[in-house]
Amino acid sequence: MCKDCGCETANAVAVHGHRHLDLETRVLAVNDEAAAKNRAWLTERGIKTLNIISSPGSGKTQLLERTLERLAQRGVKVAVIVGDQQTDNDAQRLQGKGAPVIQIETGASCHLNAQQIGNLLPEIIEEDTELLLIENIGNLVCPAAFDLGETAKVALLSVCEGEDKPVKYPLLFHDAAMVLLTKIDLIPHLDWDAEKCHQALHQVAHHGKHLSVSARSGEGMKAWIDWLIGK
Amino acid sequence: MHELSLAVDLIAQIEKICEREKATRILSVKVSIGAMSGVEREPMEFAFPEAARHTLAEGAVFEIEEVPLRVHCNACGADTKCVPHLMRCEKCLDAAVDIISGRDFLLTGLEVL
Repeated sequence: MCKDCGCETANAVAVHGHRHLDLETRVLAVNDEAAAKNRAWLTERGIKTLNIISSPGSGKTQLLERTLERLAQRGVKVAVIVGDQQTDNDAQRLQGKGAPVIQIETGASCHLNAQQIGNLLPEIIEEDTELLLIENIGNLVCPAAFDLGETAKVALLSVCEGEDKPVKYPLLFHDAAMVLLTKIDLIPHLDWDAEKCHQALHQVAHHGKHLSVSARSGEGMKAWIDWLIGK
Repeated sequence: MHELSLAVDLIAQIEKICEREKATRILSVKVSIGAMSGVEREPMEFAFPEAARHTLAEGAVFEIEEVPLRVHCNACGADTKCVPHLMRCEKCLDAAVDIISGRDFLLTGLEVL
């Protein structure tokens, strides 16, 4: 309690003349404003944008390699932004597949933010771009808290990671409009329990869609591409 | 740990408010963290004093209120509490629920001179 005015104060050394300001400000307001701007800019141009999030090594880049090839075959114009803490290895892997690719190196940061995406939009989006794919930094936690202005989030969960990841990292799996179970060609070598994974997904989200894919064998890829281009 | 970048954003917002209010010192900062905001108490408690160093908020008391997750059930209509890893209506156990609170990370109060 404040010794001068008797108000309930958190600070024991409070002196007279202090003021209490009641607020209700979103701490992420700066990011949210930039995300809203991105969303409006992209929507105006009719571009569907997907924010692709998963743990490191779940197969985001290989999925994108095969996805870009299939989208090129189907005549869909796509652009790619890829985030990593260091190196442009992923951008190099994705070059030459008919889509412009830009790498963001975030250094110490564990997620992409909306300002980073906003800065790149005029450069990467061409007049006939229909789809923007953003490969976020490999991390199930932090990227889930930052809206980039996407149409939807896509979460990847590889079958090597364990069926209960959705309940351990509920925020991402709740928010994802699509969960891709990846690397399903490895199932014969694992003790993967598909039913257990579906239960875990159902525990955190009742609205999302799930698909099983293998970028390596091509299984399930057609359904993924159909979903991507809205068929 | 994205809490450090959130703490830097928080300090930037606080400084803007202080400029508007012509405050010269910050005695305490109150925030609320939703159970499904993607923000954790401990890293935030670690990050805040680091971000506050050499600002008006240096040395300020940092208070965190934790806001539980609450959902609306589309099956029975009840509003109940739940936990992020089991999104269910507490009353009828149906999974068709929508979040009504517990998603936000808010700056809720400042005590300034």
